[in-house]
Amino acid sequence: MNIIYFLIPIALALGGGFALAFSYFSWRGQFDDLETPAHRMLIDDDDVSTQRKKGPST
Amino acid sequence: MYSEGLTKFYELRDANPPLLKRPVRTSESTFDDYDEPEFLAAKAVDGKRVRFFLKGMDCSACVWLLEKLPEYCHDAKSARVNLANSTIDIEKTPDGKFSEIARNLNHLGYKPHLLHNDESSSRLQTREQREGLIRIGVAGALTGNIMILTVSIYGGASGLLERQFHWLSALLALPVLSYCAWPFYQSAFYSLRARRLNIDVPIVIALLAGFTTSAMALRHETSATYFDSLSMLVFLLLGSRYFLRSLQKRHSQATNIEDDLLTGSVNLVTPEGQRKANASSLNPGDHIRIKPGSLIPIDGVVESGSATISAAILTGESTNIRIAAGSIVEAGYRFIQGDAVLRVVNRTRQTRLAGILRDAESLSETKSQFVHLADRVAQYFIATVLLSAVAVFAVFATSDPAEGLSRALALIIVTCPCVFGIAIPLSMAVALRRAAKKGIIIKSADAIEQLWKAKTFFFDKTGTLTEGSMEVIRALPTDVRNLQIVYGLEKDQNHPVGRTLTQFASASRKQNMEIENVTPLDAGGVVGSFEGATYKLRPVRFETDLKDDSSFLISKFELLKDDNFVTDFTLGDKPRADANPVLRALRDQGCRTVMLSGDRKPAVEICANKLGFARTDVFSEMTPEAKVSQIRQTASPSVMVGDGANDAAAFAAASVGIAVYGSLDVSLRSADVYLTRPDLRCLPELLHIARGTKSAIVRNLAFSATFNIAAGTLAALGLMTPLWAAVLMPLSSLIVLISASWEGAS
Repeated sequence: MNIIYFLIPIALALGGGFALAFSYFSWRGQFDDLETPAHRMLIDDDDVSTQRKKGPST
Repeated sequence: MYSEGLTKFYELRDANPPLLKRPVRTSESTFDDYDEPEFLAAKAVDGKRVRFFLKGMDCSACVWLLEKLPEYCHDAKSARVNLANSTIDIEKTPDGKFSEIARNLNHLGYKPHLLHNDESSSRLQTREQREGLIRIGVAGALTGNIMILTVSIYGGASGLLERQFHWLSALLALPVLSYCAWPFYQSAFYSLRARRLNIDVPIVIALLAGFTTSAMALRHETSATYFDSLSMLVFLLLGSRYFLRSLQKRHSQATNIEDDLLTGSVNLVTPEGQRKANASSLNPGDHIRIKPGSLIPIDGVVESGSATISAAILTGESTNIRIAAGSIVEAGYRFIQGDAVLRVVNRTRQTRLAGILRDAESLSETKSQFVHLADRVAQYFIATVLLSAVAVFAVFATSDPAEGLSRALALIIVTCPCVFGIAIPLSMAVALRRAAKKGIIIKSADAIEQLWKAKTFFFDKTGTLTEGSMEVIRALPTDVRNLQIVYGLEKDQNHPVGRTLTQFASASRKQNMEIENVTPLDAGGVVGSFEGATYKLRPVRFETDLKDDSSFLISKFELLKDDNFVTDFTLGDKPRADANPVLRALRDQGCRTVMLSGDRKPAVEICANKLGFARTDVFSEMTPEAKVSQIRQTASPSVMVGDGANDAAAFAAASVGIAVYGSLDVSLRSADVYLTRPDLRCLPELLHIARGTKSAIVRNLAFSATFNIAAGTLAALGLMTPLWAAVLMPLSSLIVLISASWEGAS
């Protein structure tokens, strides 16, 4: 059962790591806007300048 | 868009259509002033990055189109959209111009407003929001780990391991109960200092009681620790509040008055010729020309020329006014037709309109704080819980005080205020969402609470209950032949009144009836000859209040044959088709409806009669200040429904201010609710949503009361263990969560 003294610190480290990363990225503003990325995700990444050369898309 | 290969926009838009498709009136400005150094200093970060608020952004296709901006506009280096706030952050290329970027945005169909860059209040808001998120993240991480440990204990860990787990849970719970729960302590402290009980006070009591019990248990090496329930409580409470706040903060607009008043281009007339100018750069003494359709941005006097204007936004006057040299004009008048040179008397910022809007804003900042339902319930709640706890302790005081204390504390912990803390914000958030889906934008949950109790509805007339456009409301009975003549005279006149009369007479028109020598008259109206007689159709002069001799209202036209009176037509604005049913529905519910209008008495009375207002509930010729004092005289919570700038102060004075579709952008700031559909039926829908929210909250409160009585009884009988608490508290929160979301789904 002594393995638990090894596992608990790992669990805490994982939790702590998450908390640190989350705090850091929140502070940097990554989660300020949660709605627009959902829309952005649905759009394909075409290049407009190539479109322009080909002509308007049908 | 076609030439730049951007037609994919339409595919994307049809794949994910926006909820409400309304075309936006774009600006006619050329935005040249966006290149001025002082302008840039105030608005741009490092001179390179700005943020625009865009009107007309409402779907994911817009995100695609706008973020592609750098590819077809070489003045923009990067563009990032925030759909929730309708803003876009743009960085320009080193030799790019903001005016070109703004013109591009305008050309695509989004009306751009430049936002100030270092609004300290919005910075503070962002910071608070980020901090709130961090608190949630930390609470979540720690709660999860605490639960791992306590589940092991419940699962049978014992002996040394159990004690170690208890201590470890305590250690992990410390940051949660101190850092994460800090906002609750702060709020409870301020509330108590103001000698009031708000919703956070019972929460803090529960947290402190729980911590005390658990600390005592640690010391005495019993297993009555509640760290898992407490940290879970903190996590859920923080989460639901953050959710509500994120829905509410969306709709504050940081634009200033000048930017919003300038909706069209202003031509500055100088000895060297004409050039475009920004309203904020005009000085008294400047001469300007206004483009038809735009708002006049300054107070001034007509130097030369003549024109037709509408004062509806400022005074509610429903008929147009004809102005000529010497007439006084004010900011907020809409220039309809004609050509006139105006001399500036007051700069935009010093106009009467700007003053009205500033007053409205300061009024809305001091809007009376009402006692939230949650806070009132909190008072009863605390009283009941504390009394019960004291009673339980008293029973054991003499025989076994330790047992009494532990039962009393267990009672306090378990009778969970989480329902108020979670259910009420969630129900409000759901209501905001539902309303937004119907095109009703509610700025804050407070408005919903006020709407429950509202019994008096004040309505503006022009533009709110009426279409805001002219039609013939009264005509003397006359020969069909005369109507045919009117039609013949006015059919080619490109004038709003001409169009109104033409429409009125068109039913009687006769083909091949040609009026000869049709010429417009200088003072308005038109003259022509037919079958030997001279017919004149001209306006009857009514005085305006403008205290000058050269302007007059266009509200009545008379037809003269060889200078003899034949018939006349009275013009006015007609009520909206949906006004009557909506008003009737409100009255059926026992609400009082009052008309407050700035328009003249006869016009107001005709409209009020048509719409069934009681005689004593109709007020005409009201200035913005008069509207405010009339609203203040009413006792019960009141609602003001209006559209113009002259309603901005009234919005702030009423308990709830509702701005209808088509309101001046700037007056939206003092409104609590605004409608994005030109449909008065939004009103009953809004009331329906507000009432539905109330019944959902009442339901949740009833559930919570039942739950608390049951749990409290268990605690009093000594049957409450941490395991029970750990199961019951999250269970009640979960049921409440599901119930609140159900409302949203249905």
